Amino acid sequence: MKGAIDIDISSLILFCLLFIIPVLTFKYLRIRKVGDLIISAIRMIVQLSLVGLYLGYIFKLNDFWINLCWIFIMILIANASIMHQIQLSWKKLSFYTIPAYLITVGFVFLCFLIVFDFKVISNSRYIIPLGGMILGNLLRSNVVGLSRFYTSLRRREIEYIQNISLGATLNEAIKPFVKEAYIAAMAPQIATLATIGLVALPGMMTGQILGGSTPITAIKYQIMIMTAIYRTTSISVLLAIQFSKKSAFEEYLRLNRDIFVK
Amino acid sequence: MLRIRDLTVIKENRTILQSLDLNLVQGEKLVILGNSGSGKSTLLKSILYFEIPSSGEIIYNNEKLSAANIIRIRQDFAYIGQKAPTYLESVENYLLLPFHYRINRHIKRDRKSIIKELEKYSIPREILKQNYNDLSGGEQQRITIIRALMLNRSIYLLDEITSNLDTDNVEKVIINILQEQNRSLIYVTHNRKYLNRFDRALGLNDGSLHPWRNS
Repeated sequence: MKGAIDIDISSLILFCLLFIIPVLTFKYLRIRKVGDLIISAIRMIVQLSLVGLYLGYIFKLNDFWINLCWIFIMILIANASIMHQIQLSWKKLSFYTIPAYLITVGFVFLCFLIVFDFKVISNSRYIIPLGGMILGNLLRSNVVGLSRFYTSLRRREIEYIQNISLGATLNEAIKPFVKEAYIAAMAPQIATLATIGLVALPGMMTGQILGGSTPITAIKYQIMIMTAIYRTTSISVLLAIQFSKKSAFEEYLRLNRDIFVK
Repeated sequence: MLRIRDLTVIKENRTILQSLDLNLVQGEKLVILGNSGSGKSTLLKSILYFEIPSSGEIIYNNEKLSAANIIRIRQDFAYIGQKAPTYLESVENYLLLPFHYRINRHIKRDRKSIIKELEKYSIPREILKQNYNDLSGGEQQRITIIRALMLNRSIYLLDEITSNLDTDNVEKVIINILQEQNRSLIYVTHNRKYLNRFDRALGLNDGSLHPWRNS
């Protein structure tokens, strides 16, 4: 068998109509977010259709530089989304966080060279989905990590001041906050790592099996992507904090309140 | 030793401190009284430039504070806040944390000296192994005060440090902070009880300092 069986559009539409169930539940429980629910569902469908369309082109062109541009654009979008979600100033921090994410993604792809030839990894059928999974996780873990770091600092600024006044350098003073943010970003992933496969079959593995790979091949890919994601989180969160602190602390090592949107 | 000249701090269009002057000599124990919102905390924070003054200058040992020397000068100070910080590990690690900072590594400390300090505040030594976060707010605060005092700084800036303590412990803390002869301190509070133990008492209102009169 080569590839998964295609789904008929009309059957897909019929299947999606079952979406009425959560809508009715929301109504029944009088949750006032029906609008949000419907809008997110529509966004999901539109975004995925668009991605389907242009991924088709990108796979057909299969040009290394176009692939690279694609990854770069995805990094920019991930960065904007992170800043938006955690209410930090896009203008003040992006100059530092984008390089942090570029270095992380670059490094993780270099690691893929241990497993694949350059020819394989630069193929759009590999670089694009792998990049997507890595960036999706980078986004989630940085939303948690960066927001924990900066909200803790803001809320417990006195503690930071006290550390500085007891003789800490900037790095020494923020170390407890870095540690806390790092743990927060890693914790969900440690939990996933430990239980993966027991209950839920991870997305990549499911895709591979549906696509006709043997379970062993699927598992190898899954192990590879999980360790890559783990590396991504740990590097990107630390680099994003280390780089962004140049903007977050000003003269006299004061916390720069302008980085917060609200 | 410490001179504040014509200090004005404006925050969000509100004048918190206005043309404030203050002289502190070595070893002097100064208490500043003021109601909440009178700018006591702002005054302490702006001495170390954690709040940037709108105008005025702060001179420490004949050196005017600036971005260039602030890091070095802060090393002669210690600031203690009203509420103890959070910390996730043991009390012992919490006490030792600042001694791992590069500039403090030369300061000698051992378990014995720590236990001796704890005894001054009637805290049993068993507390060292406990998780710092499991202590009560008052215990955390006393541990925080002990930790800062062990660093032996020249000037201590104490921001309402006893407001969360019970009467017995307030007394112990006051006795201990006043003990060292060479240590200068600015103790900011709204509690009038121990005024006479300090060398000098000032009141902070309308953004400037006045000699304190019991009224």
